[in-house]
Amino acid sequence: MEILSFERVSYSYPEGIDALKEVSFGLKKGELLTLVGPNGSGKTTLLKLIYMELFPTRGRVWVDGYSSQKIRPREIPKLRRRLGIVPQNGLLLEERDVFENVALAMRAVGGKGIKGRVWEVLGQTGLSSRARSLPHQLSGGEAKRVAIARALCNQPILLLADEPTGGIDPQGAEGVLSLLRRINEQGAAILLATQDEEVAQRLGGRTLRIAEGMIV
Amino acid sequence: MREVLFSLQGHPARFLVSVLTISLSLLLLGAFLCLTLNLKLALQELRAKVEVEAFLRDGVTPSQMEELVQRVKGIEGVKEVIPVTKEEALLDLQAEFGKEFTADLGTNPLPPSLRIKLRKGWRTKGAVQSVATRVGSLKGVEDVEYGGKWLERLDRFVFHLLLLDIILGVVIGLSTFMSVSNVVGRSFLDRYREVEVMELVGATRKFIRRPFLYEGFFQGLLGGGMGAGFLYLLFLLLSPRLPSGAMLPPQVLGFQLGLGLVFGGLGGRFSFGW
Repeated sequence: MEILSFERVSYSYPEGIDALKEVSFGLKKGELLTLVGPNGSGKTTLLKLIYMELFPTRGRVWVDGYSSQKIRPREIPKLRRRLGIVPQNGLLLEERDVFENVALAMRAVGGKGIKGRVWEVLGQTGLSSRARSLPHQLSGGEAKRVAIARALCNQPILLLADEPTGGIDPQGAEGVLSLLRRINEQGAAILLATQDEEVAQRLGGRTLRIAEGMIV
Repeated sequence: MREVLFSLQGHPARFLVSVLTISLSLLLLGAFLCLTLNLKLALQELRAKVEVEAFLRDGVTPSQMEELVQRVKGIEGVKEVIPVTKEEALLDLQAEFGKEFTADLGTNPLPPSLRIKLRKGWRTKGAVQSVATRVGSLKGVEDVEYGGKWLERLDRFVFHLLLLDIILGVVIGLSTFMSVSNVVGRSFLDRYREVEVMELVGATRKFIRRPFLYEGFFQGLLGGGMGAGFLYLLFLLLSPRLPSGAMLPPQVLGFQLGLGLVFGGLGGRFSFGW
């Protein structure tokens, strides 16, 4: 069963840059998909179209029952609660410790049993001992795992990870990839965007290649 | 509330300056309002003393005077009519200024008169004037007097003061709004990453706005409360020098709090545009 589909999707930025051209693909429930392409090939734009921060200029994106052509602004938060998003820069709040960074994601959606669930995901991501550390006290790999933990705490059906291994050492990168494999084994679909071909090979699953806004 | 305290801890000086600005502005408005309300009360007391005096033709007989009393009583707005004979008028004058004051007068020059008291609501300049005109048109009445001029002046003064209060209220309301929206807007920028995270994880806009709204309310309420406190202290400090009967109406303090709360909340709500 597909939980995500792109149907001849194109996107042009207001400045006239064509970021995506006629992109079509689908993602099944529990599937692991790696999107590989160089910088500027349209990977981040594609992810933003999935969580509907951007809308196609042509074509349709369909995510877990929500269509980009029909979704109403007040439905977007509901869609995002079904997704786990790991942005390229991690987007951790520097003045809050690891526990609070993860808990914020649950508080923001009025989640219940926050404390228990946060400790559970911190355990799952191997961060229990770092719960009271501030982001600047973490290694690159740990910081990425905090962003993944935050994305996981609301139990998403699809995890979107933008360059989760970017800028971290090989050991840290391996930790992140094995974590993503475990999450996938537990049932969540994963769409990972990377410019590193090797990441796709190490992660396994299906690979899509993107260049100049087109699937190649 | 947790997020509001978080912001307060981050920039206490900024928060304090905003609250002080609001409180001083509201102190100014409160002081003006207090002055206006006191003047209005004083005016009401003066109005209660307003009466019309009708001077009658010399030589009017007691039966004619009684007839006039009945006719004046029939005029709308008249509460009470007290007839004053020539002799009573002279006695009143002597009681006020002493017998020697009238000793040199050969005959009693004072005319008989009617002192006319008015009902509540008939003590404004226009109403007094209309009663005076009707009384003046009665046969046997030579002249009518009432404190029309000073009543008019006082009315106009209080009206202008009220106008000033309204203008001041609008200006201070706007300055509270801008001060709060500026401070809350800056705390929004400080917390932009946090807002981004909340949007990513699916928080509704209502939820994201809430801490900023609370922050605005909190600032406005605190500013209003401090303004009311300052006004109360100022009143206590000045009360020995103020005329007796001067009061600080609790509505003024409530108004300061309310205005701070409303404009603080609005400032918080519109601090980030959407």
